[in-house]
Amino acid sequence: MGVMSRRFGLVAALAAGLATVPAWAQQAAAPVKGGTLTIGVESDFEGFDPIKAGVYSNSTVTAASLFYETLMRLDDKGNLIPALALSMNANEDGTIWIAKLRPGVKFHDGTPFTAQAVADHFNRLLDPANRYAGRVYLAIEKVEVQDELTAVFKMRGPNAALAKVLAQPGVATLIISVKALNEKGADYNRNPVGTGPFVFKEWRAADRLIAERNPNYWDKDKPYLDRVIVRPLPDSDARYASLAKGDVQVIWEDRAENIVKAKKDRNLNVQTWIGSGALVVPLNTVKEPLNDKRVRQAIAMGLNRKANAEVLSQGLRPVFDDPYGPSSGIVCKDNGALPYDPERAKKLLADYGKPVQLTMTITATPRGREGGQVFQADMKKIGIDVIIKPVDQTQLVKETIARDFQISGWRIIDYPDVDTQMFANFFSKSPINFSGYNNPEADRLLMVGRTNLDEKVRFQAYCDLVKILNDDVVWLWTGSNIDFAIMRKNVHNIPALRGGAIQAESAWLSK
Amino acid sequence: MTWLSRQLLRLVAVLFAVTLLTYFIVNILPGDVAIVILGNLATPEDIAGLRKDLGLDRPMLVRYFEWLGSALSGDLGRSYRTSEPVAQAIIDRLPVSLQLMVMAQLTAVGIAIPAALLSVRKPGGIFDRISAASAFGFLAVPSFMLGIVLIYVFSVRFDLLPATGFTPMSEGLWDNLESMILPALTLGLIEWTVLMRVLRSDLLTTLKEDFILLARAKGLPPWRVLLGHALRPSSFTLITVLGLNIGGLIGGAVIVEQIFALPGVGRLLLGAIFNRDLILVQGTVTFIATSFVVINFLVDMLYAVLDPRVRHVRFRS
Repeated sequence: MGVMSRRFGLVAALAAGLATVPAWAQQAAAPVKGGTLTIGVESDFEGFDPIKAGVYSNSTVTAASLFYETLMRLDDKGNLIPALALSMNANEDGTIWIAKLRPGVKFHDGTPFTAQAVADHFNRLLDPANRYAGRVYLAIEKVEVQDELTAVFKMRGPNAALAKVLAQPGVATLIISVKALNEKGADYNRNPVGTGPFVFKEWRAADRLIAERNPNYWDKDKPYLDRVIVRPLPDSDARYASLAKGDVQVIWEDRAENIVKAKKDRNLNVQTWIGSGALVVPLNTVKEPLNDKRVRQAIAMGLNRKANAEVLSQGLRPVFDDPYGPSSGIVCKDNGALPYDPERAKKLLADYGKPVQLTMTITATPRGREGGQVFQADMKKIGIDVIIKPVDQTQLVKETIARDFQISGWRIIDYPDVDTQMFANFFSKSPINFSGYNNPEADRLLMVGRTNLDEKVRFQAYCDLVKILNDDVVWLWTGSNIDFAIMRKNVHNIPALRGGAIQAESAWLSK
Repeated sequence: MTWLSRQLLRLVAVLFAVTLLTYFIVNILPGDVAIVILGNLATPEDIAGLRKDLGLDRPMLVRYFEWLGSALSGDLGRSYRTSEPVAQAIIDRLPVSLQLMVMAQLTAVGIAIPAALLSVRKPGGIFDRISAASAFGFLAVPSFMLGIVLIYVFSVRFDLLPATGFTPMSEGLWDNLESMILPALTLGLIEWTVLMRVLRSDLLTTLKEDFILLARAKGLPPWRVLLGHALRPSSFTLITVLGLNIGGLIGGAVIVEQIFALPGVGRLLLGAIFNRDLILVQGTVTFIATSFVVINFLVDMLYAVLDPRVRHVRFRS
């Protein structure tokens, strides 16, 4: 989960929502081998030991997915496909998941990839002594070795989503060599060893990371590229200029101006991905006056979410009435969203009877301020006085987690299954249920979503849940999670930008 | 007490004040490296545990004096975030910032001295007015804007130079210079302005001195009077400003490094501040402060070289 500051400004309204498949991709001929692909990302990398890094930014996932891999993968439609594991299946009640591993896979240092390596990786993350913060969300008790190529995931309770959750590249799901880590010690963080399509070559801090083709990769045809360079280019305009000049061939981008410009440039293609999750505004339902449902409903009906997103993103970011997003596969016929209706909002406030003044905590960034200002302006129209409190991002996280806020800015990150985030945010006993929401029916539906192995039943539970959340107005959904990669015309086959990462495993360059 | 020992004492006092102040300021900043490392999802127990592991739960002054003890023995510690030794991180980034500083100052001086000399040949004349106008124009342009404009003109439009990035000298001298031209130009085009204005002003004062009148009376051509007699005694303020610029740039040009994606000291410090990587901030600021004070000390020495009177007064006292 991230805070809204980073990407509060973008993207393409796609009615259906999933990644656009540009014409050039459909017409693509047979992949050409060779060449160097240079990718421009926003920030430098935290390092490649998941415990030390704690969290991978999308820039780090872009780099890490060159040399690390997940057990299963997701295709652009969200179907599971084999990668390091040939299959992942649950037992009848979802309390045990079994991963059958691909034989003959080797880490870059020549060590065989086995069930023990999988167990070592996950058990290291799960060990409380290592303080990997995401462990509580993995829902895994421990991983055991059944035989050399069979890893057994023992879950803390029935879990329907594990295979998908582990298929999206991220800090926990990309499997490292714990053996290499133990050998290299502190140096491992800057010298990663994985099984991936590229071998780590060099990382010049703040300048570039270089990875070269893995000649022993298990998928004999891949990778097509000889070399991939990932360059942190923090300034958005300079990043775009580097692409226009041809110094880099692909960039991650979130500035609406640059995306609109790129769409008109005949030398460039824009790839769009609308993920699951959303940009959100959590309300603290425990504190006055937001503990009164009428005030919360008034806020929801006074906020013109669609017009605001239009203004803030130059029409690029669609707004939905649920936090699931098109890539989740959940389509609700009735989500119970309250309409934009300032007059009804005023009536609710009149009914409440007391003047309402609120403080909105935002990140002290241009994006944070813009978001705060449009919120403030809408609330003023219905008679709510909003004070904007700009703070540093880490401070915002601290205050929000400590429930020391009234209204905040947040993000539900793009995840292949909505269970992890919804459960964490809205289950009454979750440690990061910031809003202090406590609704037994919502808890029940969250448990159905977590434990029922029938997808139809799960999705219906999530639709029933969002109706309750929309009526209670716990969080406001202010925009979708959308990511863009802009690339030169000769770049082909970049997969869906899940979580904002640009993956180069199957990419190739035409002459 | 000699002038030299007074200067050294001052250096120690300044460094003590700077390091203590930095420690204090960074500590009262909201935010926490433990949250940065563990992420938004961390439990309060994990955050407290990591703070303890990093030693952040102890009183600030205790930590400061511990750090000072290690720093005096040459150990600046390791980054909380990446475990990279702080001294190594600075050493890795320093060549980039140094090269940028040298090239930017050469550019600035290369424009400022001829512009000032030409301006004072006819004060109020057409060249003087043009150079004054352009100086104020460049002074008013923020570096982030000038940098982007230069990238668009020289990289995107005319495809002459790389837009971003740094090539080390080990990969070829020309490639290295190419990668530094635009960043150096961005800084130089802004910094020549002040240099030119102070030099021009000092030259005008010098040109009214008796020894200049004498030189002119001897029939020396104007350019020889300017270059041979007026320039050197007029360079004091220029050298002072240059010293301040150089001292400032040793710590990296944060904005220019950010725009051009140069792995310099400025970006190292910026990243460390954002991550609340206190020990990295502390080490980097200490390094920058030391460089700043040392360079200004050297500038003071240079006065003595330029003007025998200064030498005489200093070393007599």
